[in-house]
Amino acid sequence: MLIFSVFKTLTDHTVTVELKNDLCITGVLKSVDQYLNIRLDAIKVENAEQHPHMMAVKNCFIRGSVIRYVQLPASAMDIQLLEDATRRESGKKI
Amino acid sequence: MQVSGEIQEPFDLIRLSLSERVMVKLRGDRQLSGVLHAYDGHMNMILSDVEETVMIVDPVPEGVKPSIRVAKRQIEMLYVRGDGVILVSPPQRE
Amino acid sequence: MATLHTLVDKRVLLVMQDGRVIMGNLVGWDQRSNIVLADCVERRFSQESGATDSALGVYMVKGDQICLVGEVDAAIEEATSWSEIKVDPLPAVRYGDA
Repeated sequence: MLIFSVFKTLTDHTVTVELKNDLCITGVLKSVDQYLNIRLDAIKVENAEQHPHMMAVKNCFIRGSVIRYVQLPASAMDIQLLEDATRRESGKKI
Repeated sequence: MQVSGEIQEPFDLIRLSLSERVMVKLRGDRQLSGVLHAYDGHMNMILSDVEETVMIVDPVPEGVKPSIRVAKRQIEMLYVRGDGVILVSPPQRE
Repeated sequence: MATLHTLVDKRVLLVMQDGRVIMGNLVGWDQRSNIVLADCVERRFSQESGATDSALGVYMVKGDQICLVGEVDAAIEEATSWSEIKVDPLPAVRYGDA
Protein backbone atom coordinates (compact mmCIF):
# COMPACT_ATOMS: atom_id res chain seq x y z
CA MET A 1 0.00 0.00 0.00
CA LEU A 2 2.93 2.34 0.75
CA ILE A 3 4.38 2.27 -2.74
CA PHE A 4 0.87 2.61 -4.22
CA SER A 5 0.42 5.81 -2.17
CA VAL A 6 3.78 7.15 -3.34
CA PHE A 7 2.80 6.66 -7.00
CA LYS A 8 -0.56 8.35 -6.34
CA THR A 9 1.21 11.47 -5.05
CA LEU A 10 3.25 11.53 -8.27
CA THR A 11 0.18 11.75 -10.54
CA ASP A 12 0.70 14.31 -13.35
CA HIS A 13 4.49 14.12 -13.01
CA THR A 14 6.74 12.82 -15.77
CA VAL A 15 8.30 9.41 -15.08
CA THR A 16 10.33 6.89 -17.09
CA VAL A 17 9.17 3.27 -16.89
CA GLU A 18 11.71 0.58 -17.75
CA LEU A 19 10.15 -2.77 -18.69
CA LYS A 20 11.53 -6.27 -18.41
CA ASN A 21 11.75 -6.40 -22.24
CA ASP A 22 14.25 -3.50 -21.99
CA LEU A 23 11.78 -0.97 -23.44
CA CYS A 24 11.99 2.47 -21.78
CA ILE A 25 8.84 4.61 -21.91
CA THR A 26 8.71 8.21 -20.68
CA GLY A 27 5.33 9.81 -20.06
CA VAL A 28 3.03 11.67 -17.70
CA LEU A 29 1.76 9.44 -14.89
CA LYS A 30 -2.03 9.51 -15.10
CA SER A 31 -3.08 6.75 -12.74
CA VAL A 32 -1.97 3.73 -10.78
CA ASP A 33 -3.88 0.87 -9.14
CA GLN A 34 -3.30 -1.64 -6.32
CA TYR A 35 -1.34 -3.99 -8.64
CA LEU A 36 0.94 -1.04 -9.52
CA ASN A 37 -0.37 -1.14 -13.09
CA ILE A 38 0.45 2.28 -14.53
CA ARG A 39 -1.32 4.57 -17.00
CA LEU A 40 0.93 6.98 -18.94
CA ASP A 41 -0.02 9.89 -21.22
CA ALA A 42 2.03 11.64 -23.92
CA ILE A 43 4.45 8.73 -24.12
CA LYS A 44 7.85 8.63 -25.80
CA VAL A 45 9.74 5.39 -26.37
CA GLU A 46 13.49 5.62 -25.87
CA ASN A 47 15.45 4.96 -29.10
CA ALA A 48 12.29 5.63 -31.12
CA GLU A 49 14.08 4.82 -34.42
CA GLN A 50 14.74 1.24 -33.29
CA HIS A 51 11.29 0.91 -31.73
CA PRO A 52 8.69 2.24 -34.19
CA HIS A 53 6.28 -0.52 -33.12
CA MET A 54 4.37 1.85 -30.84
CA MET A 55 4.67 4.95 -33.02
CA ALA A 56 0.86 5.38 -33.23
CA VAL A 57 0.39 5.03 -29.46
CA LYS A 58 0.06 8.25 -27.46
CA ASN A 59 -1.09 6.87 -24.12
CA CYS A 60 -0.87 3.44 -22.59
CA PHE A 61 -1.61 1.10 -19.71
CA ILE A 62 1.40 -0.88 -18.46
CA ARG A 63 1.01 -4.08 -16.45
CA GLY A 64 2.74 -3.78 -13.09
CA SER A 65 4.34 -7.21 -13.33
CA VAL A 66 6.42 -6.34 -16.43
CA ILE A 67 7.97 -3.24 -14.85
CA ARG A 68 11.61 -3.47 -13.79
CA TYR A 69 12.23 0.14 -12.68
CA VAL A 70 10.47 3.49 -12.63
CA GLN A 71 12.67 6.60 -12.66
CA LEU A 72 10.94 9.11 -10.39
CA PRO A 73 11.10 12.93 -10.16
CA ALA A 74 13.28 13.44 -7.05
CA SER A 75 12.21 17.08 -6.64
CA ALA A 76 8.57 16.05 -6.19
CA MET A 77 9.30 13.66 -3.33
CA ASP A 78 9.56 14.18 0.43
CA ILE A 79 12.28 11.80 1.64
CA GLN A 80 11.55 12.32 5.36
CA LEU A 81 7.85 11.56 4.85
CA LEU A 82 8.75 8.47 2.82
CA GLU A 83 11.07 7.03 5.49
CA ASP A 84 8.64 7.77 8.34
CA ALA A 85 5.82 6.06 6.45
CA THR A 86 8.07 3.04 5.76
CA ARG A 87 9.01 2.76 9.47
CA ARG A 88 5.35 2.99 10.47
CA GLU A 89 4.28 0.41 7.89
CA SER A 90 7.09 -2.04 8.77
CA GLY A 91 6.05 -1.89 12.44
CA LYS A 92 2.86 -3.70 11.44
CA LYS A 93 3.10 -7.35 10.50
CA ILE A 94 3.21 -7.64 6.74
CA MET B 1 25.38 0.32 18.59
CA GLN B 2 24.51 -3.31 19.28
CA VAL B 3 22.91 -4.32 16.01
CA SER B 4 22.30 -8.04 16.45
CA GLY B 5 19.90 -7.52 19.38
CA GLU B 6 17.56 -5.45 17.25
CA ILE B 7 17.25 -8.03 14.48
CA GLN B 8 14.64 -10.71 14.98
CA GLU B 9 13.62 -11.29 11.39
CA PRO B 10 15.14 -10.58 7.96
CA PHE B 11 13.10 -7.44 7.31
CA ASP B 12 14.47 -5.84 10.51
CA LEU B 13 17.86 -5.75 8.79
CA ILE B 14 16.36 -3.78 5.91
CA ARG B 15 14.49 -1.43 8.28
CA LEU B 16 17.79 -0.57 9.98
CA SER B 17 19.24 0.29 6.57
CA LEU B 18 16.69 3.07 5.90
CA SER B 19 18.39 6.30 4.77
CA GLU B 20 21.65 4.40 4.36
CA ARG B 21 23.44 3.24 1.23
CA VAL B 22 22.65 -0.37 0.38
CA MET B 23 23.72 -2.83 -2.30
CA VAL B 24 20.91 -4.64 -4.13
CA LYS B 25 21.55 -7.65 -6.36
CA LEU B 26 18.91 -8.19 -9.06
CA ARG B 27 17.96 -10.82 -11.59
CA GLY B 28 19.46 -10.41 -15.06
CA ASP B 29 23.05 -9.75 -13.84
CA ARG B 30 22.20 -6.32 -12.43
CA GLN B 31 23.36 -4.67 -9.26
CA LEU B 32 22.38 -1.37 -7.64
CA SER B 33 24.00 0.84 -5.06
CA GLY B 34 21.72 3.54 -3.63
CA VAL B 35 20.29 5.19 -0.54
CA LEU B 36 17.22 3.33 0.71
CA HIS B 37 14.17 5.50 1.42
CA ALA B 38 11.22 3.10 1.25
CA TYR B 39 10.38 -0.58 0.90
CA ASP B 40 7.45 -2.94 1.44
CA GLY B 41 6.83 -6.63 2.05
CA HIS B 42 7.35 -7.50 -1.64
CA MET B 43 10.81 -5.89 -1.44
CA ASN B 44 9.62 -3.14 -3.75
CA MET B 45 12.04 -0.32 -2.97
CA ILE B 46 12.68 3.37 -3.58
CA LEU B 47 16.35 4.35 -3.75
CA SER B 48 18.07 7.64 -4.49
CA ASP B 49 21.50 8.52 -5.87
CA VAL B 50 21.59 5.13 -7.58
CA GLU B 51 24.41 3.56 -9.57
CA GLU B 52 23.29 0.60 -11.67
CA THR B 53 25.86 -1.95 -12.85
CA VAL B 54 24.88 -4.40 -15.60
CA MET B 55 27.13 -7.32 -16.57
CA ILE B 56 26.90 -8.04 -20.29
CA VAL B 57 28.44 -11.15 -21.81
CA ASP B 58 29.08 -10.46 -25.50
CA PRO B 59 28.54 -13.41 -27.81
CA VAL B 60 31.84 -14.82 -29.10
CA PRO B 61 32.71 -17.65 -31.51
CA GLU B 62 33.00 -21.09 -29.95
CA GLY B 63 36.33 -21.83 -28.29
CA VAL B 64 37.03 -18.17 -27.56
CA LYS B 65 36.94 -17.09 -23.93
CA PRO B 66 33.83 -14.89 -23.48
CA SER B 67 34.54 -11.34 -22.35
CA ILE B 68 32.34 -9.63 -19.79
CA ARG B 69 31.45 -5.99 -20.34
CA VAL B 70 30.25 -3.81 -17.47
CA ALA B 71 27.78 -0.97 -18.14
CA LYS B 72 27.20 1.63 -15.43
CA ARG B 73 24.68 4.47 -15.19
CA GLN B 74 23.45 6.94 -12.57
CA ILE B 75 19.78 7.52 -11.66
CA GLU B 76 18.61 10.22 -9.25
CA MET B 77 15.51 8.49 -7.83
CA LEU B 78 14.39 4.97 -8.65
CA TYR B 79 11.52 2.60 -7.83
CA VAL B 80 12.66 -1.03 -8.06
CA ARG B 81 10.05 -3.79 -8.39
CA GLY B 82 10.57 -6.42 -5.70
CA ASP B 83 10.18 -9.49 -7.93
CA GLY B 84 13.64 -8.86 -9.41
CA VAL B 85 15.44 -8.61 -6.07
CA ILE B 86 17.84 -11.43 -5.10
CA LEU B 87 19.51 -9.88 -2.07
CA VAL B 88 19.86 -6.65 -0.14
CA SER B 89 23.12 -5.97 1.65
CA PRO B 90 23.18 -3.34 4.41
CA PRO B 91 25.91 -0.71 4.69
CA GLN B 92 29.28 -1.86 6.01
CA ARG B 93 29.59 -1.12 9.74
CA GLU B 94 32.71 -0.71 11.85
CA MET C 1 -8.56 -1.66 -12.27
CA ALA C 2 -9.08 2.05 -12.40
CA THR C 3 -7.27 2.38 -15.66
CA LEU C 4 -8.60 0.42 -18.65
CA HIS C 5 -12.20 1.69 -18.84
CA THR C 6 -11.23 4.78 -20.86
CA LEU C 7 -10.06 2.48 -23.67
CA VAL C 8 -13.34 0.59 -24.18
CA ASP C 9 -14.58 0.82 -27.82
CA LYS C 10 -11.23 2.29 -28.86
CA ARG C 11 -8.67 0.79 -31.24
CA VAL C 12 -5.86 -0.52 -29.03
CA LEU C 13 -2.43 -2.06 -29.50
CA LEU C 14 -1.32 -4.87 -27.22
CA VAL C 15 2.32 -5.71 -26.66
CA MET C 16 2.51 -9.30 -25.42
CA GLN C 17 5.09 -10.81 -23.07
CA ASP C 18 6.58 -12.79 -25.98
CA GLY C 19 7.03 -9.59 -28.02
CA ARG C 20 4.06 -10.01 -30.37
CA VAL C 21 1.96 -6.98 -31.31
CA ILE C 22 -1.83 -7.42 -31.58
CA MET C 23 -4.28 -4.65 -32.49
CA GLY C 24 -8.05 -4.63 -32.16
CA ASN C 25 -11.13 -2.83 -30.87
CA LEU C 26 -11.37 -3.20 -27.10
CA VAL C 27 -14.75 -4.82 -26.36
CA GLY C 28 -14.23 -5.61 -22.70
CA TRP C 29 -11.85 -6.47 -19.88
CA ASP C 30 -11.98 -7.81 -16.34
CA GLN C 31 -10.24 -7.58 -12.97
CA ARG C 32 -7.32 -9.75 -14.14
CA SER C 33 -6.87 -7.56 -17.25
CA ASN C 34 -8.11 -10.37 -19.52
CA ILE C 35 -9.13 -8.54 -22.68
CA VAL C 36 -11.61 -9.19 -25.51
CA LEU C 37 -10.72 -7.63 -28.87
CA ALA C 38 -12.83 -7.40 -32.05
CA ASP C 39 -11.44 -6.93 -35.59
CA CYS C 40 -8.10 -8.19 -34.42
CA VAL C 41 -4.88 -8.19 -36.43
CA GLU C 42 -1.41 -9.38 -35.54
CA ARG C 43 1.31 -7.05 -36.81
CA ARG C 44 4.51 -8.96 -37.49
CA PHE C 45 7.70 -6.93 -37.70
CA SER C 46 10.63 -8.08 -39.78
CA GLN C 47 14.01 -6.65 -40.71
CA GLU C 48 13.70 -8.12 -44.25
CA SER C 49 10.12 -7.65 -45.44
CA GLY C 50 8.72 -4.84 -43.28
CA ALA C 51 5.64 -5.07 -41.06
CA THR C 52 2.74 -7.25 -42.23
CA ASP C 53 -0.75 -7.58 -40.75
CA SER C 54 -2.74 -10.78 -40.55
CA ALA C 55 -6.42 -10.79 -39.56
CA LEU C 56 -7.43 -12.84 -36.52
CA GLY C 57 -11.11 -11.94 -35.91
CA VAL C 58 -12.33 -11.86 -32.30
CA TYR C 59 -9.73 -12.69 -29.62
CA MET C 60 -9.76 -13.19 -25.90
CA VAL C 61 -6.28 -12.42 -24.59
CA LYS C 62 -5.23 -13.60 -21.14
CA GLY C 63 -4.20 -10.77 -18.85
CA ASP C 64 -1.04 -12.39 -17.55
CA GLN C 65 0.37 -12.58 -21.10
CA ILE C 66 -0.09 -8.85 -21.71
CA CYS C 67 2.76 -6.44 -21.27
CA LEU C 68 1.17 -3.17 -22.36
CA VAL C 69 -2.09 -1.77 -23.79
CA GLY C 70 -1.86 1.41 -25.86
CA GLU C 71 -4.53 3.60 -27.46
CA VAL C 72 -3.96 3.82 -31.22
CA ASP C 73 -3.98 7.30 -32.74
CA ALA C 74 -5.96 6.74 -35.96
CA ALA C 75 -4.34 9.64 -37.84
CA ILE C 76 -0.78 8.39 -37.26
CA GLU C 77 -1.81 4.78 -37.85
CA GLU C 78 -3.30 5.61 -41.26
CA ALA C 79 -0.51 7.96 -42.32
CA THR C 80 2.15 5.29 -41.73
CA SER C 81 3.28 2.88 -44.45
CA TRP C 82 3.91 -0.04 -42.14
CA SER C 83 5.18 -2.30 -44.93
CA GLU C 84 8.15 0.06 -45.32
CA ILE C 85 9.07 -0.11 -41.65
CA LYS C 86 11.83 -2.69 -41.40
CA VAL C 87 12.76 -3.53 -37.83
CA ASP C 88 13.12 -6.61 -35.68
CA PRO C 89 10.17 -7.69 -33.53
CA LEU C 90 10.09 -6.40 -29.95
CA PRO C 91 12.06 -8.55 -27.52
CA ALA C 92 10.20 -10.90 -25.17
CA VAL C 93 9.91 -10.09 -21.49
CA ARG C 94 12.68 -11.85 -19.57
CA TYR C 95 12.60 -12.31 -15.84
CA GLY C 96 16.34 -13.01 -15.69
CA ASP C 97 18.09 -16.31 -15.04
CA ALA C 98 19.89 -15.58 -11.80
